[in-house]
Amino acid sequence: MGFITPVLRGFLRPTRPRFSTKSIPLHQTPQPTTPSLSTSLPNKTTKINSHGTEPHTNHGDSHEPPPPPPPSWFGHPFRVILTTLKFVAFTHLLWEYVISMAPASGPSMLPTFEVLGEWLLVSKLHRFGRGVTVGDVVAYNIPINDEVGVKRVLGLPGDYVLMDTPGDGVGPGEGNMIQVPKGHCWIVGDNLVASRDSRYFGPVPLALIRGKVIATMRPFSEFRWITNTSQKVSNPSGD
Amino acid sequence: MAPPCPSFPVRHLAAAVQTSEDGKVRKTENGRRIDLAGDCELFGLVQYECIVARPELGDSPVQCWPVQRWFRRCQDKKGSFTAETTVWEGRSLAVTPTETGGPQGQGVHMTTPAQVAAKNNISS
Repeated sequence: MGFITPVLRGFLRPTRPRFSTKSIPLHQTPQPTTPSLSTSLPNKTTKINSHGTEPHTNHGDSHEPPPPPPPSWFGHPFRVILTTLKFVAFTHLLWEYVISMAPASGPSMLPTFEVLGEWLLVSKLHRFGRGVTVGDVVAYNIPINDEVGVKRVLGLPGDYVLMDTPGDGVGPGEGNMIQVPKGHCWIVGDNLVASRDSRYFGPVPLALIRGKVIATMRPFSEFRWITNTSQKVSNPSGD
Repeated sequence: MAPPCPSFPVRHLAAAVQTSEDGKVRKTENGRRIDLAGDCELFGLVQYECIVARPELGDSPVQCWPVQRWFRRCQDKKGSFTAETTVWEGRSLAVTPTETGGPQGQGVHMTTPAQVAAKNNISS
């Protein structure tokens, strides 16, 4: 208690405003807040020096209020803790709900991402698949382990996707398809031969989508945006 | 995990797109059935089959073969949906091998859908 009491006393002490917001009308002369010399000081004799003039004194200046102390963020232990908590909370909000960055490794997204050394910028505004379209690259919680993966979205709820790998013994008109169920998406890595994705574990719940990958960077060397590579082609039938 | 959902052969795709995910028949503005080839926009997306030549090296060259995938975006009264028609379109896949210049991605030859369309004599 002996330690806490001065802390609380300091916290409850009213703080002096740094700047006054009270306005003074132009036609009024601001009244001094301290009593004038004539009223506050007792009558005293003025010494006359040998030259017959009054010595220069600074009596008026000495009664002005002392200047406010310089602002300090770290002037009090409680204030330090409060500021730190605010910073941590703000960073957490930014990291969880706006944007985050994480390193990525593995061959499943070649050649979009290299095997090593990529740092991905993930937009958390697209978490749970919000605003994601076919062709976007997303970061997601892998449903069969506790890791985070990066894949390209090929199907959204209600879409029809190929379950097999195109070209892998699947000729024209062959293969099986599936309709993506509600609340799920179909994700496939860009490197079809080295990716474990929806072809392996099926549709992924949108709740596992952590965000959309919007950029990749190699520290101090490269930065590039990741865009949707799906492109519209005019109808070959000419319609 | 995902609920049990039936698969169907690619040749049944034209019939499958007539029903939505809740099993109801899709309705269109003009009341016609959805015509994948006639009414739906065609989209292309390129994926790859890549092989790391020497995985033990940090700067090993990577060889990639593009795999073209096709999608049709159709419209019904409730909105739009996408159907992958890579195999349904019946076109040969683009398998032009391209070699990358290492982990920096130098020399990666990205084949765009437009280039593949031009190669396959598709008007664009």
